[in-house]
Amino acid sequence: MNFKLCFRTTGTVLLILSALMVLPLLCGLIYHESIWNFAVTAALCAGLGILFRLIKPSSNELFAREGFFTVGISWTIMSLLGALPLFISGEIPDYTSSFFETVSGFTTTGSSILTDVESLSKCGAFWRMFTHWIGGMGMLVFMMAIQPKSRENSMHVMRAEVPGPSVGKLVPKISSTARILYLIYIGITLLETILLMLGGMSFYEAILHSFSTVGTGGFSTRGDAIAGFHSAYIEYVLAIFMLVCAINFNLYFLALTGRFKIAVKSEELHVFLALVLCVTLIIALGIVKIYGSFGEAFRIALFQVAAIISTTGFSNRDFLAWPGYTKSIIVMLMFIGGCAGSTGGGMKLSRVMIVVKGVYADLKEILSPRSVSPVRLEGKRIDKSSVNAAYTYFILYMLLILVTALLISVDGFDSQVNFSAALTAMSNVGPGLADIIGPMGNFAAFSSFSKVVLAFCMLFGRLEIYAMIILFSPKTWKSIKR
Amino acid sequence: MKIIIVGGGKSGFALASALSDEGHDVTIVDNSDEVVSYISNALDVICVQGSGTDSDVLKDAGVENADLLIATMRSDETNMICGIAARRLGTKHVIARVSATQYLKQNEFLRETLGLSVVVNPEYECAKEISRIIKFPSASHVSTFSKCQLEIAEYRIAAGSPLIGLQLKDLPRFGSKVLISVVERGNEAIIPRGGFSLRENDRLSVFGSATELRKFFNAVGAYTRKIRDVIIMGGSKIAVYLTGMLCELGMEVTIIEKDRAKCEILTDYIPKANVVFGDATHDDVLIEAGLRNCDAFVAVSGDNSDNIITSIYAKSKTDAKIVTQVTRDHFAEISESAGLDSIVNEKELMSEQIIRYVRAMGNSEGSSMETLYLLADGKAEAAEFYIDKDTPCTGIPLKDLKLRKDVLIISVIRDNKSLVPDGLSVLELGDCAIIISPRRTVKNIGDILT
Repeated sequence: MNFKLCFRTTGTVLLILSALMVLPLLCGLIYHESIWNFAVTAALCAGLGILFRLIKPSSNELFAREGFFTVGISWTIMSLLGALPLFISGEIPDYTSSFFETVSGFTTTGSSILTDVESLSKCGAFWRMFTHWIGGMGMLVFMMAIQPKSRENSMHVMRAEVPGPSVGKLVPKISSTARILYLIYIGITLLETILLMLGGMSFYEAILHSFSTVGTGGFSTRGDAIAGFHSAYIEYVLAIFMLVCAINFNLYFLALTGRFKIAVKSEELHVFLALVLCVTLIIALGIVKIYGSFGEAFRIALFQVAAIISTTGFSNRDFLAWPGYTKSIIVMLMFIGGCAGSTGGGMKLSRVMIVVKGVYADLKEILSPRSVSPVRLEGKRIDKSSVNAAYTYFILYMLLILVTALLISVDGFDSQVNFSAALTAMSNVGPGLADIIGPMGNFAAFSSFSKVVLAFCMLFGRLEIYAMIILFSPKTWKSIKR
Repeated sequence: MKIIIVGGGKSGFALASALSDEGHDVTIVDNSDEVVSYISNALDVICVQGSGTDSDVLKDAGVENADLLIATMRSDETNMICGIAARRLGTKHVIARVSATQYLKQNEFLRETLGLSVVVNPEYECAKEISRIIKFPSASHVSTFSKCQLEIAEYRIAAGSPLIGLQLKDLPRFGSKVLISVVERGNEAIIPRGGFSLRENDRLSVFGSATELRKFFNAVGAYTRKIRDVIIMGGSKIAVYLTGMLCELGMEVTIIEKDRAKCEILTDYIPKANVVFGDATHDDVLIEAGLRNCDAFVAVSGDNSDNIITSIYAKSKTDAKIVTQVTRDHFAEISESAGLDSIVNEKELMSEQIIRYVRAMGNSEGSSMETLYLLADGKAEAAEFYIDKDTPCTGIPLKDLKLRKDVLIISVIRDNKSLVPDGLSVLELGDCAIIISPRRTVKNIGDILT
C-alpha cells in the first residue's frame, strides 16, 4: 500500500478545502458577522494540507486499493475538519453533533441535529449548505479538474468517488472529464439560482437552495423548509432540478456535444422517468383527499417523489400522515436512489436494474439449464463479474443497514426509528419514517455514539461502501509498518 | 493532438503511455474486454471495445476528427485496412505497422496508394539497431543523431577498467573528445557534473563522433575486436533483416532455427547465410554451430525466456558480443542484472520512432523539439531542439543562464558542424542544441532554465 502517495493527495484535498472556506468567510464579511471560526479552520486545513504535501512518495504506483483508501481517508479528515467552524462558533455546542451535521452535509444526506435552523448565522448556514455542493460532485473530482497534469489523477480515485457500478470517462483525459463534469454542475447550479430568484427568493436563499438541490442534499435555511415559501413555482423548480441532478451527468455531456439521440436512448433514463411518473401518479391519487384538488396533490406528490428518489430529502409536507402504502413506496424509493453518475445517493437505479435482471436470468437458467441468457444493460452485455459485483453491493448495503440499526438501538428507540434512520443515512436521503426523525423532526435526540455511527453510515453510503471498508480493515493498517 | 491507437498490445500500450504523458488525448481501440479494462485503469486514456476494422467502432473512437491514427494490430493487412478506413473517414495522418518481409520493398508504394503517412516496421528497426551494436561492440546501445553524425553509445564499466575512480573533468586524459552525458548507477540515472567520479558497474552514455568514440574505447581498453562470425538464434523476421545487413558488411552469419520448414524458407530469403536446423536452447546445437569461435551471438527467437537463458549460457561459454531481444520491460531489468547489457526491444524502438514522428507533427504546434532519443533504459532522454526566435535563452553566454542542475547541453550544431559548448558559448538563432535531461521533464527549450 502506497500510503505516502495517498496522504499526499489528501494534503491537496485539504488545501482545496481551505480555499473553499474563503467563500463562507466572505459571506460573513458581507453580513458583518464573526468569521474567526472560518479563519482558524481554513488556516488549520492549509497547515495540515501543506504538512501532508511535504510527504515525498517513494513510488507513483496507484492501484484500486490506494484509490479507495485515498478517497476514504480524505472524506473522513475533510469531515472532521469541516465540523470545526460550527463547533468553534458555538452554534452547535458539542463536536460529535457538529461532525454529524458536517458529514450529513458532505455526503448530501441532509439529516440535521439542529432544532432551530433559523438561529444559525448567515455564514454558518452558508457553510452548512455549501458542504452539500462540495460533496455532491466530490472533492477529489474537483481536485482532478483543477490540476490538469498530476500523478494524483487516477481512474482508481475517480471510480472510488463517483457513484455507480461502472464509471467511464467522457474524454481521454481524466482532468478534462472532471472539468466537464464540474462545468455542467456549476451550470445547473447557476440556472437554478436564477430560476429560484425569479420565484421571489433572495439571492442568498436561492444560491443556498441551489447548492442543496444540485448536490441532492436537503438542508434548508428555514425551519419549515420548502413549505415555508408558500410557492407552487418554487416547488416545481426544486422538484425538476432534483430530478435533473438524479440523472447521469454523462447524458448532459452527450446532449451538449450534439449526441442528443444517444443521450435520450439511455435505458436507465427511460426506467427512471417511467418510475417517477408512475409513482407520482399513484401517490397523487392516494393524497388527493388530503389536499383537495388533483393538481395540488400531483405537485406535492411529484415534489416528494423527486425529493426521495434523488435522495435530496427536502421536507415539504409531512408524508408520515399520508396513507400507509405511500410510505411503503417512499421506502422503496429510498433504497433505489438516483441514476449512476449523478449526485444522488441510494443503491443507484442501474445497479438495481442489474440485480433484478441478474436474478431473472439466474432463475431462467435454473429452470432451463441449457438456456443462455446474459444480462443486458444499455444494449450491452454485462459480464458475470459485474453482475456479481452488483449482488455483492446489494448484500453489503443491506448488511450495513442492519448493523447500523443494531448499533443505534442502544439509545432505546423503537425499531421503526432505528431502521429508518439507518436506511435514510445509508441512502443519503435525510428524513426518516418515524415522527421524531421524520420530515418535521430531527436527529438531536440520538446519543453521541449513535450520531457517530450514523455519520459513518452516511460516508459508507456516499462513497459506495468500499472506500470506507478499506479504512476499517485491519489489513490496511498492518501494511503501514512495511 | 487527438490520437487513436488501434490495438492495445505491448506496443500499443507503450505508445499510449508515452503519448498520453506528453499531453495528447489518446483513445485506444481493442477487441478484448480484458485489455480494455486493464488499460483504462492503468493509463489516462479512453478505451473503445471493438474491432479495429469496423467503421462504426472507429467512428465511436472519433476517427472523423482525429489528428493521428496508429494501427498496431498483429496482422499487417488488418492494419492496412484500418488505416485506409481511417483515412477515408477523415483522420489526418495514419501510421500503420507493417512488418512482413515482402512489404518492405513496397514501402513507398504502400504509402502512396493507401494514403498512409508512415509505415513502421519494428522488426526492421530492431535489425538496424542490432547491426549498429555489432558494428560498435564495446557499446551496449548506439543511437545516431541523424543530422550531425554524432552517436551516443552506452557502455558499462567493467572491473579493472582505467575509468574507475576517474573524475569527469579529467576525461580529456584519454585523448579523445567525448562527453559522458548520463551515468546509470543501480536504478538511478545521474546527469553528471565535472566533479563526478566513476565507479565500477556504472553504465555510461558516451557522446561523440564515431571516430572519437572509437578512440575513446581503444584508450579505455574496451572490447575492440572486429566482428566476423555472427550466430543468430531464431529465424524471425528480425533475423532475416539483420542477416541481410550483416552480409552486406561481409560478415559470416549462422542462423539456428528449430522449425524445419522455416529453415528451408530462410534459405530462399537469405541464400548467403548458413542456416542450421536445431533447437538453440540445446548446448550441443550451439557448440556445433560454432559458438566458441563466434564474435557475436544474437538471440532473437521471439521468446523472451529462451532468449535470456540462452544468452546467459552463451555468455558463460564465450567472450563474444551478446545481443538479446527482450520484449518485456521488467525482464530487461533482470537480464541486465544477469550481465546481459545489450538488450533490444523492437516494441520500444517502434514507439520511439512513432513518438519522434508525433513530436515532429507537434512542432508546428509550438514545441521546437526535433528528435528524441531515450537513454539509460528510458530514465533520461537526449533531445534535439531547434533554436528559433521564440527561444528565451539566445544570445546569452551559457554560464550566465540559470540552468537547471539536472540538464546538460552536450552539443550545439551550427552550420552542420557540432560544437561542444562551454561557459562562454552562446545559443544563436538557427542552431540546434542537443540537451540531456531526465525523462519527460524538458518539452521546450525554455524548460532547461530554473
